[in-house]
Amino acid sequence: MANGISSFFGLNTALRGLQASQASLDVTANNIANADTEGYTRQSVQLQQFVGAKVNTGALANGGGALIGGGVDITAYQRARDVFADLQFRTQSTVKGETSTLASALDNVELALNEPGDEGISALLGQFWDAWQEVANHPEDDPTKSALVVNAQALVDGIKAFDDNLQAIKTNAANQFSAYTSAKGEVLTDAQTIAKLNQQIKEATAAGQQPNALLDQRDLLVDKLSALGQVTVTELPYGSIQVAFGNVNPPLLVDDSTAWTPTAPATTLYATPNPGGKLGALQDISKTGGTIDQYRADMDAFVNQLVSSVNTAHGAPFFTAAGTTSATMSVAAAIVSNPSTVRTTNLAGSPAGANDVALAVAALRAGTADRSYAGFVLRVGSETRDVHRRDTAADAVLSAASDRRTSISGVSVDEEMANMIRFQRSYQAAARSMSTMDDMLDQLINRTGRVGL
Amino acid sequence: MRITQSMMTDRLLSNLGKSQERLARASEEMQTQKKLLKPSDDPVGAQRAVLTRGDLTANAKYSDNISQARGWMQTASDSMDEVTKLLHRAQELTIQGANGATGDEARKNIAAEIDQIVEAVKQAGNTNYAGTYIFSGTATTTKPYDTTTVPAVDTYQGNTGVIAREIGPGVSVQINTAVNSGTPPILGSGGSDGGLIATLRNISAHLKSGVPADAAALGTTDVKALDANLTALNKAQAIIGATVNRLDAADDRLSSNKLASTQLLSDTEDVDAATAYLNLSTTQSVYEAALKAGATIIQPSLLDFLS
Repeated sequence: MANGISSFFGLNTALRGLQASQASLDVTANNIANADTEGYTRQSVQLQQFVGAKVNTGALANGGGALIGGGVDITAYQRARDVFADLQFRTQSTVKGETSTLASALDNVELALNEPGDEGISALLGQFWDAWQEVANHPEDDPTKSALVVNAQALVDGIKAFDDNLQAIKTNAANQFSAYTSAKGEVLTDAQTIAKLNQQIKEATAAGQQPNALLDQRDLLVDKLSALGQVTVTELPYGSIQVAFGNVNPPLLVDDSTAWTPTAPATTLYATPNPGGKLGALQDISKTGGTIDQYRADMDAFVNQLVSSVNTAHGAPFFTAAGTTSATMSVAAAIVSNPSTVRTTNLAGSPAGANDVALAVAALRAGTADRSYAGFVLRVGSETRDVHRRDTAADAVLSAASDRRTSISGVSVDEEMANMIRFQRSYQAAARSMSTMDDMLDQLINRTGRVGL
Repeated sequence: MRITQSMMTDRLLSNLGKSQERLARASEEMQTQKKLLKPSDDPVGAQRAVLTRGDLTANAKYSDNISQARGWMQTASDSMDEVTKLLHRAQELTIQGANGATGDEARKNIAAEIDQIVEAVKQAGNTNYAGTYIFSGTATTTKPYDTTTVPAVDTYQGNTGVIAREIGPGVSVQINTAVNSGTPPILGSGGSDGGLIATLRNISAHLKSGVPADAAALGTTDVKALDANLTALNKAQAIIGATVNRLDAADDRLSSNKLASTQLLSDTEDVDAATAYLNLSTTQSVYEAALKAGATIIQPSLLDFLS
């Protein structure tokens, strides 16, 4: 019975088993080594049965033949990655980037506002009205008027300091935005790296190699970009990708191995619609008519209300009439240089003890200006609270998305240990089957034909 | 779900972070005894706190205004009391002078005393409270009566202006007493306006003249004129009394407003100490539990059980 299979066939089968087990052990070791590497994707060896030998037709009892397995083949080193989990993670990462940036900016606004308390603008406003009351009590007394002017200046300084803080927050956001989007900024350098990786990946893929490490690096960069703005990834042949960033319309940030080169002004990608993410938030904060500008407008409305109502009641400019914004507000120069010119009465001959004007100004207390300021505090409070609520929600969703992804791609040391034992055992078994073959051949070669010796 | 070590570590870290955040918040609430630390903690509460704090500051100032006004009224009342005493003395003297048994010489002596009384009345009219002449109307830096020039000038130097103090939101009250208006005016401006000074000058003249008709006038028109002056004076005193009552009532109202506002502010801003303490110890035990759980789950892996 000749089946046409070599006596040494089994040795080769065992060898393939040994090699496969060793490759699996290598991958396991790599997984364990990278268990804490950011962006690392768990890998596994894909095995397939190797069709090794042909049993000749007629060799079997029923007259048939067969193709029999000759061991195992390694078909791929697979990355455990789910593109949908990536998509979900990146979408949430964009949301979280936006809410956390907004939250920190609004926190700064709240900090600058310093309300409710004894050091905020409302306390200064209270002291200002108190000073007017005191002038109404002692209209003939110049030191009282000087005290009023000092209090008024403290109020102006307080309002200006808050406005300066708002402007600083706005400028800071604008600076951060330009830092991210400048030629040396994160967006463009990442884009260039992705383009280079694309080139390397393409070359490796074309050469039939699996560039797992490069793919991990590229995915990590796209993840980072997704916190800055919305990202859309389109697959290209040979493992290359296109990345659309921010504004969904062209130009693409990365197209295959080409990174976008900005033409001045470099705003195309970040223009309306809002790019979302951290950049979107920074844009919302710093743009003309954005969050900070709206707050400043609210404060200006309050200042305008205060200045015009005090001046009207005073009958002459107490505050400089033209200074109706936080930035331009000031106590009238004539009043500062000579506090005794604070008017206390409109009566003919200005009797020293008449206080009708001072009373009229003092009566503005708790009026429209005070209420408009309190309304502003309410606005800042509710917007900050709302952003924090959104941030907390985004955080929860992001960590769920991240968990889902890690659950697919992450390295479990326990699992790797179990696999290690498994692969070690199969290595041992393959080795045993090889030595069994060896014993068999030893028997055949050394012990046959020695009858009677 | 497939769970990996890094997932567990990440979750642990994130939960520890959240726990720590809550712990920091709870301890800050304990330290400051305030639950409203920034507007976003309770936006509506923050708005209310800003307005309520404003109310409290205003209240304190109104209270201050009231006590200043009360001092003013007290001084005015004291001066009016003094004038009343002087007027009573003038009545006695006038009746004495009207008596037929009183001789011309004695009348002249009485007239000299009456002249002194006029000066004393003018001094009372010049009463000064905290640097202001309280009977000058709004000309508070001008003495109402000249007491130095000889011969005496009785003209009122002040005006009829009204001085008001704000004692509550939109509520002001007149605190000065007009001594040169009304019929007859309380002190008047001398001459023939029927004020106390004019009446006293008349009486003095009648006492000095030695004409029988004048002596007769002392017992009739002059006594009547003094009565009219006394009535005007009493009326002014009554108004002062009523104003003081009004100040007292306003002060009471401010006190109760202050109580209510303080209560409201405290409800809005302050923590309940017991709740804050409970909150702190709860968050603390949660934090400790998270740490403990972390210590338990982080340590073992299959590695520990393989030989």
